Amino acid sequence: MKKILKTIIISIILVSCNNDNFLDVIPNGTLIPQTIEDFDKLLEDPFVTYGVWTNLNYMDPDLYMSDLTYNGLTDMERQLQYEWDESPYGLTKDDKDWIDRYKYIYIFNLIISEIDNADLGNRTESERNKIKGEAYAQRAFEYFILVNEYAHHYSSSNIDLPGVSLSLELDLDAKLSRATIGEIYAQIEKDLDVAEPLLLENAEDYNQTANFRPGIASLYGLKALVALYKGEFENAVTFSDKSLEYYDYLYDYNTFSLATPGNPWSGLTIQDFEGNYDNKECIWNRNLKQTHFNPASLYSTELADLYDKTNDLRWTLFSSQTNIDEVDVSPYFCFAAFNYYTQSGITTPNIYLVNAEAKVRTGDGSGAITILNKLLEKRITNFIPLVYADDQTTLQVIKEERRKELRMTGYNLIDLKRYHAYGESIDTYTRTNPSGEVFTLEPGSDKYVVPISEKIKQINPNLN
Amino acid sequence: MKFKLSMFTFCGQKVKKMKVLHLKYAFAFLMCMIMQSFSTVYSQTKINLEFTDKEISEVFKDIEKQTGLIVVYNSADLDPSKKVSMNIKNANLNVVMRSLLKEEDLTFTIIDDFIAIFSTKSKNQSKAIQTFIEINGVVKDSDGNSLPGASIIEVGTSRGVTTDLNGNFTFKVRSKASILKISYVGFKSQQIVVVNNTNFNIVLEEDEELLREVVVTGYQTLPLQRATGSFAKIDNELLQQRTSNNILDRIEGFSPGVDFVKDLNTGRVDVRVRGISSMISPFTDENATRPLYVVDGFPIEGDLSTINPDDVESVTVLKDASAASIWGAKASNGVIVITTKKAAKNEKLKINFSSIFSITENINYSKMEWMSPSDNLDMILEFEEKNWYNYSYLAQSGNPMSLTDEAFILYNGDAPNGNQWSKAQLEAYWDELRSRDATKDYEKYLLRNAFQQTYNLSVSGGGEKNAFYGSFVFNDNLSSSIGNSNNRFILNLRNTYKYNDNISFTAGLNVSLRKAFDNGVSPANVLLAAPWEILVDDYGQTIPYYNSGTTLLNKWAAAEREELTGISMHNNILEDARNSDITNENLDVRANFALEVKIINGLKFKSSFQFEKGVYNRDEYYSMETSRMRLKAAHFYDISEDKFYLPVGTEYYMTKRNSQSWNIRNTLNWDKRIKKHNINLFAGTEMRKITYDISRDRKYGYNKKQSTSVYINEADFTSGVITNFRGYRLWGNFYEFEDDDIREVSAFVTAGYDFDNKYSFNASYRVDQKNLFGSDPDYRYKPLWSVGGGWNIHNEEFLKPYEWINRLRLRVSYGLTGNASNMFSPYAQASNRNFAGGRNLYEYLALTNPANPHLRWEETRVLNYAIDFSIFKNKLFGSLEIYSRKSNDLLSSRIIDPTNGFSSALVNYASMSNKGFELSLNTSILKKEDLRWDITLNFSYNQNRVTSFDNAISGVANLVASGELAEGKPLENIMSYNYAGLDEFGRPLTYDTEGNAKPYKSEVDVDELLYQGEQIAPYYGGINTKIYYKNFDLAINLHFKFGHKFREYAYGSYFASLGRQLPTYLNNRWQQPGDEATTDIPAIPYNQMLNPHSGEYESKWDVFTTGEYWRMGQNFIHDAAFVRVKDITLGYNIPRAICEKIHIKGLRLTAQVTNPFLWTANKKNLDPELGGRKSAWSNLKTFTFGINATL
Repeated sequence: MKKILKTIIISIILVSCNNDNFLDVIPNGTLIPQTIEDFDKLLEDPFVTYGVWTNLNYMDPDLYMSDLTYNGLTDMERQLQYEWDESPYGLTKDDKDWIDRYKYIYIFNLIISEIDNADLGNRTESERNKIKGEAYAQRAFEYFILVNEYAHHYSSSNIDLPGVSLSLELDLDAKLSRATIGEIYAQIEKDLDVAEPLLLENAEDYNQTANFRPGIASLYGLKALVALYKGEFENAVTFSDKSLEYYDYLYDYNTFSLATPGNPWSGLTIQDFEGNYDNKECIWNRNLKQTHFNPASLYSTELADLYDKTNDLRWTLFSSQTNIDEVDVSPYFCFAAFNYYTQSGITTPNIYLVNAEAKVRTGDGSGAITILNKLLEKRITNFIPLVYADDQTTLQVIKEERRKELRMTGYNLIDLKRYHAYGESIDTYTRTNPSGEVFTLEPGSDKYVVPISEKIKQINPNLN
Repeated sequence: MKFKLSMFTFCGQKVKKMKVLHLKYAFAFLMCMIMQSFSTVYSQTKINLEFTDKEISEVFKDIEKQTGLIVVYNSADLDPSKKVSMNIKNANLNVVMRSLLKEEDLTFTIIDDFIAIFSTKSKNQSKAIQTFIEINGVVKDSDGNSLPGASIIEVGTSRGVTTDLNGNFTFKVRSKASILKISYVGFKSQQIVVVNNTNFNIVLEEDEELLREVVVTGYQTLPLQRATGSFAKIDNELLQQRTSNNILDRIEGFSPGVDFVKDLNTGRVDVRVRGISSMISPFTDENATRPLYVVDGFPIEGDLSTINPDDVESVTVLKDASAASIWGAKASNGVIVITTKKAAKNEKLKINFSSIFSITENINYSKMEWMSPSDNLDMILEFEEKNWYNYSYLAQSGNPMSLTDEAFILYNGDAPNGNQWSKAQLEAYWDELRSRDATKDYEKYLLRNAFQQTYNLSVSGGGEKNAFYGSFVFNDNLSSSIGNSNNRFILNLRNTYKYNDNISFTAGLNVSLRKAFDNGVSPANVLLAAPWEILVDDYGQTIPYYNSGTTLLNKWAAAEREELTGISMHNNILEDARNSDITNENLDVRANFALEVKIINGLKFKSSFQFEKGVYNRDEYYSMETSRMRLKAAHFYDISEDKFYLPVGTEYYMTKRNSQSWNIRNTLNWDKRIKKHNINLFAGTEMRKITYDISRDRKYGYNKKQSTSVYINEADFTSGVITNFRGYRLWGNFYEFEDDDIREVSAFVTAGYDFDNKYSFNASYRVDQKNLFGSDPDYRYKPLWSVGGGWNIHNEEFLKPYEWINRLRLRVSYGLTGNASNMFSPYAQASNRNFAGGRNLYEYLALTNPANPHLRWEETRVLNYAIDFSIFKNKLFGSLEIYSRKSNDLLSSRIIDPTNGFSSALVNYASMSNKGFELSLNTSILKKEDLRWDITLNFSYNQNRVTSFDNAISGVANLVASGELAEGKPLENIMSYNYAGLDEFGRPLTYDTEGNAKPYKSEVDVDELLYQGEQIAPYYGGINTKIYYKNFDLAINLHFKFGHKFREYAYGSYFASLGRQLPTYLNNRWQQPGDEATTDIPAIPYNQMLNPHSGEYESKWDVFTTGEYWRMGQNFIHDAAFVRVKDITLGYNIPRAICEKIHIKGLRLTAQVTNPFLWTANKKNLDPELGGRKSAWSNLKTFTFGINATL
């Protein structure tokens, strides 16, 4: 009897002692990212490309809405954005642009905080450094996207104005307030400086299979944009040159055509632009994921008039006077792009244009024309190369080419803000909605800035 | 003479059965174990006897039959074969007995259920000599402990003694006919007729009164009168009333505080014990919201359908903390303890066979009140008139289309083959469509009467060392859809072996094999068809359609591809149903083993082990006879290369799931009685591990006979290198695998103390830990506990004078129970995903959950007050319980600043309360020998309120769709628009807060919505009544719920259901100005054109919104109160005489009807348990016939 009792007591004690070992098994069904490979795969998330600057789409003066298309907008906030409303989202709607950007910032923060101690597994130290560099570069890019959407443009007078929140730690309970525009730019540059040597040593020039992950060309592309936006044009020239040195591919629009001749809604004979994952011009993929067909986005008359409607392939391949349901929209033109997202990330044509603009702004007008011609010969049939006349004209041509090349991406709105911050004159725009109300967008107005949604401000009053 | 009284501790019925075999050998002694029962004066019964020269033992049988009493006698006193004759009508029992015994020196006494016959010689003698008979004996409990202070009283006198310290007594009785009553507090009293005995060895059973007087926590069995918690027990008799194959169905409505909530949309049934106490959606984690199911002491991982309901002895629901907190972190939602049958030691072999057949009434679609095909077509013509179709575009697109679209295209001259219809041809076609009725074909070709059969065999018996129970059941169900059926075998074995007085083993094995054929289509599929889409033509040939989304092409566009591939691209649901080959198979094995050792008196050690293994296989074969595979092959045919990318042949999709769990538990139980003090200590540890893995795979060109398939380059398909002719990737993954490993460790202790059977106290304490929870040391090993007290007032001296009070007991308990989900973890979590972007396949990790080191159990604090009573000789008994359950730290999605990375995070923060009461009443209205009428009522009230919740900001549409989650409101509630009818153009209006109608297109504010009340009934209950008349019994079970609301489903978004079956009332839609006076159903808007009535532009947007205000308005919210007669069962027990002739112990026939009556508060007669839709295929009447034989 005593033996039995002893056995029992021992067995109970045994059961109680091994608890922590027994329990410290992390279930397989739930994956907890902890190795270099896991972090690599977190960076491989293709949805990082989704939903960038969608708020800017209808605010862009180059986009026009007829009564038909305005009424076809099912989301009230899009109509309000078209009217440059100061609170398009109200208390109930979610601002996906803000949410998604900070969601990925959380992931990049997670990687940055854990990468140094992460288990190497079957990966190399070089991969660790590449991933670390990417995470810093990605974080910088996200803040660049955010600050240009939700704040005034960087300038010496705007530098202390509120930008966006600077979230650098993993803290779900933080109640961050807005950092200044200057602080955000400082952080962007700091992150890019960390990323630069890491990517230079370990990354490819351009990540062809996952173009939403930065290569070296992408990093310099962003540095060029940052420099341009800050008005540091010499740096912009240097960095855009470097970027193009690493990667400068351009599609020749003469080499493809409409899938169904005469019907721009039928798509192209190449599918590279659908979803942009195969878009070889795209060096840092971020989509403006607004459907441009339901309802159709119309070109503003002013933008439509800029195109050479016969020879400019950007026009002939992407414009139509009927919408996808074959409803006539004349005298306006639809931006005819079905299954197509415009690219608000960094593309080679954008870097060509940055390079040209920076060159002309640093007095190298003819250099600007040279680089511009390289781009335009791929866009226009029977192209006759431009000849340098003077810097002022050249700058104007570059500005117009930016509008034509980067249409429906949100860049135009930011450029207008930027030109105003440089002290250049921009137009005052007006719009009318179907009820006949008239709205005006004055240069330098707060209406250029996407307001932080009331819902987020209610959750975190520090953002007011 | 040595004998054990305990052997005869039967309820009356069992004694009756025993008598048949044993009475002929009438023992030399006579004794009756008499339980407290509803006493009746049988001697008032009128008896009719007419016979000549019949054996007296046969005569006694007649008397037994007529009176329900049992005649016992000593064959030494009376020769059973003695012949007697008699002719008596309408006589009193006393008269009959006296005349039967008049020639003998015999007399009789009626003691409760017995007629005892004695020799009068001794009586006379004793009277004459005036001497007493000396008897002696010992009184013990069933464990062999002597009971000091037990009282022995001679019934009818004031004489009596008490036992000494060793339980012995010596006593003198007046005669052999004297009756002794032996009582001891906490034990059942016994009455014994002395007869010829002088030495008694009396074993008193603990006072369990009726079977329900014991409660089972799953860990322990406690006498009810010492338990302080809230237990609801459903005994075997009730469990046997229904014939469902699922044990849960058999307990519905029988237990207060247990609500069966039917999900309005999915039809799933949630069992809720005292309200919901978690906000985790059952769709996220079913286990986190359902009660814990415990079978014979262990929580089960497998499905409850692995249990044969006929093996279940009882079901106990543990409702409060004192009852349930021993189950710790799983008990928050209540615990349902299922105890299966086992044989007793020294039980004669018993064989039971039952068979059940049931048939369900057929499905009649006319109950749906759908529009006639003609009216439906008129509606389509109205849409056409309002510019809803672009036929030239549709014709060009090549997309599949409906019959009406085809007709319009032909009429418009847009048909690609150049055909054109005249107006007359079109009209003739409309007339043709108007005359067709698809529902008739669906009823004829796809449906049948559901039919179910069950055969159940069980064997049990026991010897001195060994007790055995085994059963086998086979169910075969044909569902109402032709092609769907399932069957089930369950084998259940349980053996207890007693090695010696101190050591015993129990081994159990339950094996279930379930197979389901899933080849038919659901009766609801008719909703997906146009009213004129009949299945077969006049010659019985299936009609080819080119209308479903999966076809991708219409008949004109498909023609070229069909010619090249030789594969027809049509679809027809009947053809698919006839050619489907889908099976599901489940094999579940549950084995357990327990060792019980009595270490010293009162101290027991028990070690138990359970292993469960489940294997699930689903095999789906899609041959080229099915449209699914035909279309896939045709779609992946490349015309330019004349190449099939997907092999032509059978697609095979398999799913395999393996799950296993093991559980080890060691417990020590110490019972000690020191005079009036009863102490019980129980402690143990438990470890548990659950693992499972699921794999899926898909093969093409599969040859079932040879198990071979044709190789395809899966990567090219998943990454989109190979797409179909439309450029779409092949849907459906290839190989997939997932697995999980969950581990738990627990330690627990309970203590019980009882003084003098008057005051009892209970306490429990348990610590659980799980590998998914509490990485923060503050929350690891968080204890869960309970305390409880009970007071048996009826055992107090001051209540003794009130003889009509048989029981009065107060209970109070308080404690903490927990709830856990396997879905959440304190670590940042990601999941593996694939995405084909362009030509690239991204294998990436999506971050799904942020890190939350503070994650912990949800907890519920339960306070329970209860009073149990039994009065008027137990004619009326019941209990009233009042409880308050406060659930804190509920896991809920909290809205957080998205700037921190997540818009919401699942954190322990919300809280909710459930308060309520439960009343159960049992009464026997009538009790006569031939007629008995029992009624049981249970009534529950539960008030559910969210007590703290982050004020989530919800849009109007959200609030109307899913109610408002807010403090002070019930978790599940309904909100609606304040609908104000139509304006002069048939457009919907809503009221603002002032009560003014707001024009269409003005935004509705949150405060203009109407709060309609809760969705879950606060009041619910059941009335169960059973009437026994002679050999017949009739049971009626009725359920009711009230105090809640439901939303009727309305087809408001015209477009979504256009071209399909629509309700008749849409005929009343606004069609012309002035209609707004008589209808509130909005007009069909125009598409992308001016509305000629209003002069305003209308678009697709309007069609989505117009209906919304109407269908989500208050007119579609109804009172959900209902009373349902769930079932009526008529039983007939074949008279014993007949049974004996065919050499069986008992034979019972039953007939049952399920769902015979429903009363609803809503005027439209919609069944509130059916999601507010009319349904011709749910809650149908089912007729069941059963036979049950005991050998």
